[in-house]
Amino acid sequence: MASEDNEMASPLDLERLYDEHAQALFSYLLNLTRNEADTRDLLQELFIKLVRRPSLIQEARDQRVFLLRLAHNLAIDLFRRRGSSEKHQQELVLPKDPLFAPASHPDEPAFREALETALGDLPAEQREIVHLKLWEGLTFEQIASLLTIPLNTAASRYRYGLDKLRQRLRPLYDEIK
Amino acid sequence: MKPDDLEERIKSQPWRAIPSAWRESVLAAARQETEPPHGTFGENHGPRGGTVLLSLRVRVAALLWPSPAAWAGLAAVWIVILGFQVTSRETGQAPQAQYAMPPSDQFMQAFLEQRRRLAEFDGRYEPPPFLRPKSKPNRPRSDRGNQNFATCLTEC
Repeated sequence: MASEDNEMASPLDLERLYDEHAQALFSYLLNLTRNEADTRDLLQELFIKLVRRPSLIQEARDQRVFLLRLAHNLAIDLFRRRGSSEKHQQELVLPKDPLFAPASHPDEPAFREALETALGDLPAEQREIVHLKLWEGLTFEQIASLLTIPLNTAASRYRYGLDKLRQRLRPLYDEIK
Repeated sequence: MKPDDLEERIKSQPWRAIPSAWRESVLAAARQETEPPHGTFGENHGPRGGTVLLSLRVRVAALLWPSPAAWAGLAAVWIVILGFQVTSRETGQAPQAQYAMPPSDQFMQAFLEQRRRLAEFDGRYEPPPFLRPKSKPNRPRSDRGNQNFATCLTEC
C-alpha cells in the first residue's frame, strides 16, 4: 500500500541498505534458524517491513543495530508461529545448512564443522549473543538494547555460551594449532 | 577481559556468503510494496511470479499465527458439519423429521401414563379431569332420599 512514508524510501536506498547489511543479516538469521529457506523468508519480510515504514530506519541512530533488532523480532515471531514441537521436529529431521564458507586449509573444515555443531548445541539466547559479540562486534550495551534484556544478562549469557564453545572446541583446537 | 587465542580463532571463521540470486528477488518483493496493485494474482508470471508466491507464503504464515493447527482443526469441524448437512439433504429427510412427534392420541396416552407413574411414585397422583370417574353431586341426604323415592316411583 502506498503511503507518504513509502515515497521516502527510494529504490536506491533499498539497494544501498541491502548491499551494506544483507550479508550480516543473512549470517545472523542463518545462525538463529539454521535453515536457509527460513532465512530467505525472514530477510524478505524484513525488507518489506522497511518499505512499509521507512521512517523507522531513517530515525535509527545505528542502522545495523536497528536491522539486527528487526531480524531478531521477526525470527521470534517465526518460532512462535511454528510452535516448539514443530521447531523441534524440524531440528531433528532436516539437515542443517552450513554456516561457514568452505575452508582452504586442510585443518579448517574439521574445526568449522565442530564449531557449527557446538553453536547449534547452544541455547538460542546464548547463541545469538555470542554471534552478536564475536561476529558483529557489538558492545554488551548494544546487545542488551537490541534484545531488550539487562546488561548483566547479556554479559552472563555471552560468558556461558563462550565457555561451552571453549569446552567443546579446546581439544580439537589444541590438536590442530 | 582479553580474548584468548581460541576465541580469536572462532571469531576469524568466515560466514558463508549470501546467495547472489537473493538480491534481485528480495528487492523486487520489497519494491512491489511501493507499487499500486495491477492485474490479478494469476497474471503475475515470469521471474516476479516466484517472488509473489514467496511473499504470499510469508503473509499466509503471518495470518495463521499463532497456531496453524488450531485453524486446521476449526476448518475440519466446519467440513464435518457441512458433510452432515449435505448427507441429510441427500437422504431427503430433514433432520427435524427424525424427531417428529408421534400421533397426538398416542402422545397423550404416553404422557398421561408417565404422569401417573411419577405421581404414584410421589404419592400425589390426581388423574386429569377428563379421566376422573363421574361422581354424582353431593346432595343433602333429604334430597338424596327424595331422589331415590322419585326414582323408585318411576321405575318400580
